[in-house]
Amino acid sequence: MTAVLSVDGLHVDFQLPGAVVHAVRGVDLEVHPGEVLALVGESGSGKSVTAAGILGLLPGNARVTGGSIRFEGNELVELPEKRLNLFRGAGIGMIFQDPVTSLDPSFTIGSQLGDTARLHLRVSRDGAREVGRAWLDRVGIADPDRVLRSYPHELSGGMRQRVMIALAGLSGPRLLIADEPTTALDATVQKQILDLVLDLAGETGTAVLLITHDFGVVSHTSSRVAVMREGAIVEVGETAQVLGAPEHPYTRTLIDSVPEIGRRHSSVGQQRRLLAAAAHTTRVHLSERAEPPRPATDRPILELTGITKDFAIGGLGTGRHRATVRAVDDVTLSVRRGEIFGLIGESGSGKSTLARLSGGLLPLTSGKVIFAGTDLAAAESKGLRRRFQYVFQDAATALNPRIKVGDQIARPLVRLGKASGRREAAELTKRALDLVGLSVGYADRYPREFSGGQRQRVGIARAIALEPDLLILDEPTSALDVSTQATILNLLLDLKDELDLTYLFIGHNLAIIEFVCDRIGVMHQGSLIETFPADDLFATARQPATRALLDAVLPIGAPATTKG
Amino acid sequence: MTAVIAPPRLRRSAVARFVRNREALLGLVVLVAVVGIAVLAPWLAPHDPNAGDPENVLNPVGSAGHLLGTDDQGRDVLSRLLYGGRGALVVSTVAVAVALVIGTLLGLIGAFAGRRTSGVLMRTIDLLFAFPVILVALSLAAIVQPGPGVLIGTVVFGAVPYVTRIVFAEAKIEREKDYVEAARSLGASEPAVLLTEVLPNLVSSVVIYGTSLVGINIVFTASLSALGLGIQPPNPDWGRMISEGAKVLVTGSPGVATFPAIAILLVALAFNWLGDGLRDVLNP
Amino acid sequence: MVRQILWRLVNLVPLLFVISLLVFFISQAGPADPIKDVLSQKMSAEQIEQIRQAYGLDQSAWSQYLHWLRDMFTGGGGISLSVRSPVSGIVYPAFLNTLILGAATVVLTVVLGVLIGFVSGIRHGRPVDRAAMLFVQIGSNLPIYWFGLIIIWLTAVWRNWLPAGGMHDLRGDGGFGDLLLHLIAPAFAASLVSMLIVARFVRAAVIESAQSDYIRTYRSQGFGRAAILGKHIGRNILPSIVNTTGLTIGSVITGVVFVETIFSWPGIGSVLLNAIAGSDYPVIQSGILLVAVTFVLVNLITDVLLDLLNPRLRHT
Repeated sequence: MTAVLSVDGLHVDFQLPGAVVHAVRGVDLEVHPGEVLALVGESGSGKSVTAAGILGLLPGNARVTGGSIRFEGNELVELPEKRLNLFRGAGIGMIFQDPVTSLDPSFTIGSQLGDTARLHLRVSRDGAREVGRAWLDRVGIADPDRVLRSYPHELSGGMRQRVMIALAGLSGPRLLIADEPTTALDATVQKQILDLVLDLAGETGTAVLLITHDFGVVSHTSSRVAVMREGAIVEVGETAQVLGAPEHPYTRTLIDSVPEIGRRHSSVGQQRRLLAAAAHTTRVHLSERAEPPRPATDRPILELTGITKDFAIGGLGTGRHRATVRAVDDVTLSVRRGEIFGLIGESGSGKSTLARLSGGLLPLTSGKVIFAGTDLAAAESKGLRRRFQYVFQDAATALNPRIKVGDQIARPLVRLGKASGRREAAELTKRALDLVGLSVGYADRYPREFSGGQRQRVGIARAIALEPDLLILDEPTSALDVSTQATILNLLLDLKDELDLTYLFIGHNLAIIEFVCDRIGVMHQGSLIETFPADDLFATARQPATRALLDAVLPIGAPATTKG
Repeated sequence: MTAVIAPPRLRRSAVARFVRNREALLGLVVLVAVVGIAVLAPWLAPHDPNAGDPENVLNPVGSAGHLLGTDDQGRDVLSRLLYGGRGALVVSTVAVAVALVIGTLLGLIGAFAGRRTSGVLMRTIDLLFAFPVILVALSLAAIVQPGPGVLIGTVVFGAVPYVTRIVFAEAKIEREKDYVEAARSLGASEPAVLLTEVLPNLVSSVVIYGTSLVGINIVFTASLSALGLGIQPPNPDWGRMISEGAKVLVTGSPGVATFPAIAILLVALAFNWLGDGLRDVLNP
Repeated sequence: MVRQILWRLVNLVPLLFVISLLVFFISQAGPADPIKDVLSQKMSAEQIEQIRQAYGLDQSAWSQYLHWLRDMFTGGGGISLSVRSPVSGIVYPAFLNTLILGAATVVLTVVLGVLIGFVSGIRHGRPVDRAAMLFVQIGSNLPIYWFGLIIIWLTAVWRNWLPAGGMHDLRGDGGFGDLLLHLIAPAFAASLVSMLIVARFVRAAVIESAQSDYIRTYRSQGFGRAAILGKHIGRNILPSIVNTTGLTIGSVITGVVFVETIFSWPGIGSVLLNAIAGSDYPVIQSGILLVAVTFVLVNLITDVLLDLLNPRLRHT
C-alpha cells in the first residue's frame, strides 16, 4: 500500500530579526490511503507548521530548508506556485482552525462555494449553485438556501466549520489536512464536526491528517498517531497501542496530564492529583501539617441569590441599534466553606459573567451577592475586599506588561491595607512567590520574561498574597498547554489544602471540572440548570444539557472508530 | 515544577538596541546637529541674516564670502539658513507637546467614560480629525493676525484629534484587558487605574507618534509661513525663504528657495527616522 | 438603509449650525472696529457712522449673524469691505474654480494613491515596494510650496509642456482641453500629500488582506494569484479606500489652497488670503463657511458610501 503522503526529513526554519528558529527538525510522516493519522503535540511543537508546509502555505518569513514531501509520488518541495496549485484543492484539501477568520467576510457563502465549484468542477454558474446546495446538505446544514445567501458573520461557529468542510470536500481531494478543526468550537459541537469529517472521509476513501493537541480527539478519530515535540516526532504507532502503552516518556506525561472523566477516585486514600506516575510536584512547604486539612463544612461562604445581569449594546453614539442581552438569569447558588465548587457551561452560558459578578467586578442588575454573611453591595470596605480574590484565565493580559511582577503583588497589599508599608509588603510578596514555587529573584522581572505557566503562577501568587478565604478562578488553565495545565492544577489543589481556601472554579472542560471539584453547577444560556456532587455526574437524574456535555467528552481510553 | 531557579537575564539594554538601529541613530545625530546649529547660529553665521547688500544681489553659489549665494535683497543665504530653523523648531515642538498632553487626556477620558459621553466625544473628534486644517489657519490669521500664534494654534488644532484617536484606540484595548479589572478588584481607585496602570502602557506609543508629529509639522508650518500666515518678514524662516525665493527660482537662482527646502526635508526625515527607531526600541 | 441616510442628514443640521456660529465668531473676535481700520482717516464721524449702518455693523451680534446667514442663502453674503461689491460676486466664482481644481486633485489622489499602494502592497518586500516607500517618505516631508515651484519649472520653464499658471489661456477661449492642460500641474502638486496618505493606507490594507486567513483558505483550494488579487483582496480593501479618501479630503483642501497661490489659480484660497491681508471680514467669513460646508457634505457622501459597502449593514 503506497502512501498517499510521504514526508521525509522535513526541515522548516523561521527567519526572525536577529535569530533563526528551527520549527521543524527532520520530521518523517506517512499517511496511507483511507486512514486517519493524528499528529499530536503541544503549542510550539511544530505540528501546524508541518501541515502548512505540506501545501506550501508557510508565512512569509518561513522556509522549507530540507527534506522532501511527496504526494502520490509527486515531489512538492521547491515546486513553483503554479504547479503547486494543481495539487491544492483537487489533490490535497485543508481545513483550518479558526472558522471566524478563514471565510471571506465580504462575500456570501454561496459565492465562495460557487467560486470553488467553478474552479474544480468546471460547472456553470447555476450548476455551481446546485453543487453548493448539495454539499451544504451533505455537511448537515438544515437550511441550505438561506445559508447560501448569508455572509460568514451571520453563521455560528459550528456552521462556519461545516461550510469549510464543504469547501474542502467539493474539490474531491485524496488527502484532507485538518489543522485543529475543533479547537475553537464548543465541546458539544466538536464531536459532531469530527464525526462529519470521518463520515465524509470514509465515504470517499480520503486519507486524513488530523492535527490536534487533544488526546481525546486522537482516540476518537484516528487509527495511527504521531507525537511531536519541539519540531521532531518522538513516537508513532497504532493509536490503541500508543495510548494504552506509550513508549516515550513525553507521550506518557502528556497522557497522564489529562484527567480521565469518571476516574477521580482511582487513587484510593491518596490526595487527588494528576501526573501520579511522575512525582515531581513537590514544592516548598511552609509548615508541617499537624492535622489533616479541614473538611468542607455546611456554612456557606458565598451566597448568590437571584442574580441577574443585563448588558446594553448599541445606542446613541455607537452607530448600532439599542438592545438588551440577558447574560445571567436569576441564578441562586451557595458555595460552602472549604469546598471546591465547579461551574461549567459552554461559551455564551454566562458562567464567566457570573464569576465576575460574584467577585464584585461587575455591577448587578438585580439580586444579591453575600460573602460570609455580608451583602457585598451594602458594605464596600477594603477589609471585605481582601477576603475573596480572583484569578484570571490568561495571565498574559491579567498582568500589567509594564510593571514588575513583584510590584504587581505588593501594591494591592498596601492598597487594601494588608501590609502597613513597603517592607511588610515585600515580605508577604516573597511568601506568596514561595507558595507558588517561584524564587524571590523573579520579583524584579516583567511578565514578558516568563513562560505561560509561570505567569499563571504569578497571577495566583497575587491573589493568595492577600490571604483570602475564597478564590474565584475563571478558567485558570484554559490558556495553558496540557502538561503545564496539570502542574498548575496540582498547585491549586496543594494550595487549597495548605491555606484552607475555598474555590469557585469556572471551566468548560468537564473532565477537569469533575476531577478537581467537589460539587458541580451547570450553566446553560444564562440559567443555572442544576447542582450536584461531582460523584453524581453519571447519575440518571441529570438534566439533558448536562448529559449533552457528558456525551461530548472524548475519553482517551475508548477504542477509535477505525475506518481502514 | 518546584522552586524554580531564576534563569539568566537576556534583556538587551534599550540603549544597545537603539544604537543597533541605523535609522534611529542617523535621525538622532541629524537632529542634534540641527538643534545645535540653531542654537549656535549667532556664532556660526558669517553675516547678519537680515542685512541686505544692494551691491551683491543674487550672487551665485560659491561666490566670495557667500558660500550659498545671496538672495534678491543681497542677504547671505547661508546665514539665513542657519537662523531659519529656530522659529519652526520651537513652534512645532511646543505645539506638539501641548497637543500630546491634551490629546492623551481626552483619549483616556474617551476610553474610560460612559458609553454616551464616549460616543459623543469621539464622534466630535472624528470630525475635527479630518477637518481641513488650512481653514483653521486662515480663521486664526483673521483673528489674531499672521504670526507664530497662528502656527501654534493650527498645529495644536490639527494634532489633538490625531493624538486623541490613537490614545483612545489603545486605551480601549487596554481597558478590556484583565489587569485593569484586577487592579480595580485589588483596591485601585479609578484615577489610579488610569494613571498608574494604563498610562505606562501608552507612553511609548505617545512618544513615538509625537516624534513623527513634530517632523510633519515642521513641514506644515513652513508651508504656512510661505503663504504669509506664519513667521513674518524680515525674520529668517525656512518657509518664508521658499516663497521669497520663488520669484528667482525660474530665473536661474534656484538655491535661494531650494536650500531651505532641503533643510526642511532633512529635519522632517530625521524626526521620522527617530520615531521609527524608537518604535523598535520601545516595543520589543 | 434609507433610514440610516436620513438619520445622517438630520445629524448634519446642528453641526452646520455650530460651524456657522464659529465662523461668524471670526469677525466678532477680530479687531473691534474694522471700518476705522479700512477707511481713511479723513472722514468725519457722521460719515463713518453712515457707512457703518450701511454695512449693518451697528446692530447686535445676533442680528448681524442672522442677516449674514440670510444673505448667504439669497446670494448676497454681505458687502466686501475692500471691494465694495457683493461678496457673492467675489466668493462664488472663485469657489467654483476651486471646486474644479479640487475635483481633479481628488481624482489624482485616488488613482495614483491606489495604484502606488496596491502595487507596493502586492509586491511587499520586493524592490518595487522599497522604491515606492522611499518615494512616499520623501514626498510626505517635502514642502508643498517648493514642490509646486519645481513642477512649474519642470513643466513650463525647462520644457514647454504645460502652461506656467493661471486657469485659462489668456485669450479665454481655450475650451475644455485647455482647461485640462492648466489643471494637470496644480492638481498633481495639490494631491501630493493626500495621495501618499492613501498609498500608505492601501498598501497596509493590501498586505493585511494578503496575509489573512481567508486568503489562505483560497490559496489552499488552488486559486491562482490573479484570481485572488483581483476579486478578493480588491473587494476587501474597498471600504478602506473609501474611508481613507474621505479622511484625506481635508488634506486635499489644504493642498489646493497652498497650490492656488503658486500656480495663480483664481480660486477661493487666493481670495481668502487676500481678504486676510486686507481684513475684509465679510469675504473671509463667507469663504470659510462655504468651504467648511462643502467639507461636511463630502464627508456625508463618504459615510453613505461606506455604509453601502458594508455587508454587515445590508440586512438591517
